[in-house]
Amino acid sequence: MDYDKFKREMEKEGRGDSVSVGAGLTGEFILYSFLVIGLFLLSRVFGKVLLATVGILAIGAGLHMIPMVFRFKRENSNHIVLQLFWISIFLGAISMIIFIAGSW
Amino acid sequence: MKLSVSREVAVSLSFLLFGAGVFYSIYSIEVVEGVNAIYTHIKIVPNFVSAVLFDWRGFDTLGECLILINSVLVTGIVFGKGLFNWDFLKEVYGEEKCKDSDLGFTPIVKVLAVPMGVLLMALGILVILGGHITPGGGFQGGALISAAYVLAMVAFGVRRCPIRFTYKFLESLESFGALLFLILGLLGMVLSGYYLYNIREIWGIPPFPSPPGVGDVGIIPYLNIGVGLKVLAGLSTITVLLLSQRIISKNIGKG
Amino acid sequence: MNLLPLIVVVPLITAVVFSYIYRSKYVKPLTLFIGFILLVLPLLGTYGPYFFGGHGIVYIGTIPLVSGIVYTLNPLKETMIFTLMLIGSIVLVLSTRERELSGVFTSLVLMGLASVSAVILTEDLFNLYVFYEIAAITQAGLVILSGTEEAYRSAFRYLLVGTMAGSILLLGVGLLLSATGSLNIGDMGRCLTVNPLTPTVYGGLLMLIVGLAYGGGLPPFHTLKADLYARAKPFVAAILQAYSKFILIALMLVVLKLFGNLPIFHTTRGVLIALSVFAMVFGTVMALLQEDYRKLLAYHTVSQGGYVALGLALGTPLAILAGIFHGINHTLYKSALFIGAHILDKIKSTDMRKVGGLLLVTPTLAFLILCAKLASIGIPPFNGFQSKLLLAEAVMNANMPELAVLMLILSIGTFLYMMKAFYLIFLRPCSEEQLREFKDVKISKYYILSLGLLLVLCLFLGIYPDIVIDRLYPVVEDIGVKWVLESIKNS
Repeated sequence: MDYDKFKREMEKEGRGDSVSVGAGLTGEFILYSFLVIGLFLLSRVFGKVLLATVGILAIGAGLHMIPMVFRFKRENSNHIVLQLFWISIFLGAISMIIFIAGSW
Repeated sequence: MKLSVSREVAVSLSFLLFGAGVFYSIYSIEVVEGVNAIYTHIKIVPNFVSAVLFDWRGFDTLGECLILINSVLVTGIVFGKGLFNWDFLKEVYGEEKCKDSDLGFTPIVKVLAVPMGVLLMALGILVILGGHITPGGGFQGGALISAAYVLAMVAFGVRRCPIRFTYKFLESLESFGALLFLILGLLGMVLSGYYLYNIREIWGIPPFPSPPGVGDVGIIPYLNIGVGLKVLAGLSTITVLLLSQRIISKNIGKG
Repeated sequence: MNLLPLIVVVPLITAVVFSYIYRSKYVKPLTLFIGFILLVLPLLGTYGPYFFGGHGIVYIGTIPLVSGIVYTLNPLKETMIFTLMLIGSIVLVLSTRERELSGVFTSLVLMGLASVSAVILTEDLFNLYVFYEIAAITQAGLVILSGTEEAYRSAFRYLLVGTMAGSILLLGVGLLLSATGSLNIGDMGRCLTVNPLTPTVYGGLLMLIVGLAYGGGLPPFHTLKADLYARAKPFVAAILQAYSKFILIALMLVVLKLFGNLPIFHTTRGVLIALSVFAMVFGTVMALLQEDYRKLLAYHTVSQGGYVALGLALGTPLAILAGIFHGINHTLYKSALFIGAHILDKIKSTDMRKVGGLLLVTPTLAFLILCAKLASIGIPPFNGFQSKLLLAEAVMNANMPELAVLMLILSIGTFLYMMKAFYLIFLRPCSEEQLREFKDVKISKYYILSLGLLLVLCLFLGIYPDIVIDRLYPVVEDIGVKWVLESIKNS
């Protein structure tokens, strides 16, 4: 991740001082390491080659999407449409996991 | 803000999944009788639902009453009761002239509303008092009485409403109903050590008299009355708050 | 006589009374008085079950079933209720310093304290639902009390989603009732282990998890919760976060008690761990991006809620212990941080771009807030260190070292944004006239005293964590899921 590019992105929102940029960049790295570690954990626990492959693909997609943190902030904003969208996705995902994966 | 098409598809898919899950689990219900066997075999009062509501699980009923009390309190707060800061409400309501409007219904509605209201009130009182014998109880009866009040309010407007419950009166009625329930429970605790114990007699004397013929019903009719008062006052208070702007302007004016 | 129900009933009665006399001039002294009464309440009960209405255990055939509503008290619940009442008492005492205090605020705080302690104490699923709902409405009301437009917005949004989540939880309770024929959590758990699992039970579990995520502020409900904390007055946010933390712990324990011994728990555990890890990461990353101190603290609360949930979701006795201990610690130091934010709000604003150089104005406050921040990051000798260490140990024991690594990375993030806030508020240079303006504001001694009290407790628990841990461990050992440990040993 290029620091200057990141700084320019932050300046668009009027928060270009070094403290905020540093914090934002840390957020970016945390998100990325979360992706890597989470996939590590999943592929080790389930021990499936397919899952590991998909995981590597996801990491690649994440690298492609850098910087993720702005997108992430937009998804976490207080807009009711986005909140309800994620709640409905949550309901669908959790019912799929419990009903399909749970009854294996 | 609008969602993109792919997101809308994702939402519909996930609701499909969730709905299928809910439907599947409801479809395959096989009811186990369990503890209900006891509820249906031990007779406390003739109305078995009342027995479950006020005797076996009285504390839950208390909790449900408090949900209503709490909602009424929060509705009051929304309209400016006891806020820390009235600036926003002043901004919204400051410009308008705060006058309670008469909705101006036709005479047919006005003529019908009074006898209907009286009938509804009488029925409500009957339902509350007979809650331990016949279907009904405090919640239903209280809702009936407040329906009569709402009917009169809507037909005649706040100013010329024939049923004159003031806001203060409704507030005291509600607190009194809730306190009656809570303190009857405490009384059971003092006498037997169990909260909401159904006191039937103290040293051979029944402290809570009830009409003869249905056996010892203990405190259940009194709990019904407490719940009834609280429900009627709570629902009516919400209606007053929604219809009358005077209370809001009074709240703002104080701050 | 066992006075256990008074823990719930006394706040309820006083709440009804306060909502009636809310304009009286005696509200302030009475609030102060009830604030001290609250501290006595947790000591009233005796350990063991308490049967409401005298309806005890009945036998159907040879199966014992609880016929009424049961509350139980054990050292774990007692410690949690004591912490809750302590925070409630501090908030009530501080509220008497507000000019516009009315009985409505006191009434709502008491209602919330009663309902959350009922959620903690109860062994009955429907009773839990009823008081969970009261707590949800109360939280919205407490936010609306601050009276700004954003507060109205966030509270309405919270209530809107709460209607959905509450009804889903109620449907789940109904499904589980139909599958087991009882509402007592112990009886239901026993019935579920004996009988084969049906889709109805799966549905119940699903809906219980939705209710849990809403009540505890796990994703995807974390934005709602964070908005709620950020819009309330900061000292009110101190009690709000205590409510949701204890509701989270109580509901997690219910899930463990009901489903801990079933084969489905393997999947459930995965879902819950994923939810809590999401909460940890999302909270930390969002907190890094905030400019407003209140929002920063709000997202920090979300991320710490993830830590608590992670401990409980892992299911081993040590992890549950670590989770609950972290919940208690977090409630203490987070209240201190929110009270600090309230003082900041009094001085100027909680927007970190508008303040600076406060170290010269209030060195005591700066020191106290620094201590609270250190506790929240997890630096010895404060209590946050002890519980995070315990949690890391538990994660390692549960055979998930990756999560320990993630916790470490997140701790660095937490350190960064906490120190960023400290620098911007207290150390950043600012002009002379601004400093003079800040100096004119008088800070009440009550705030400094309550901050000091909370921090002394934090320090005490950091040096002698065994006082709490020894009380909790025997209870937690019973709840802990045995097969998790065995399966780890076998692998």
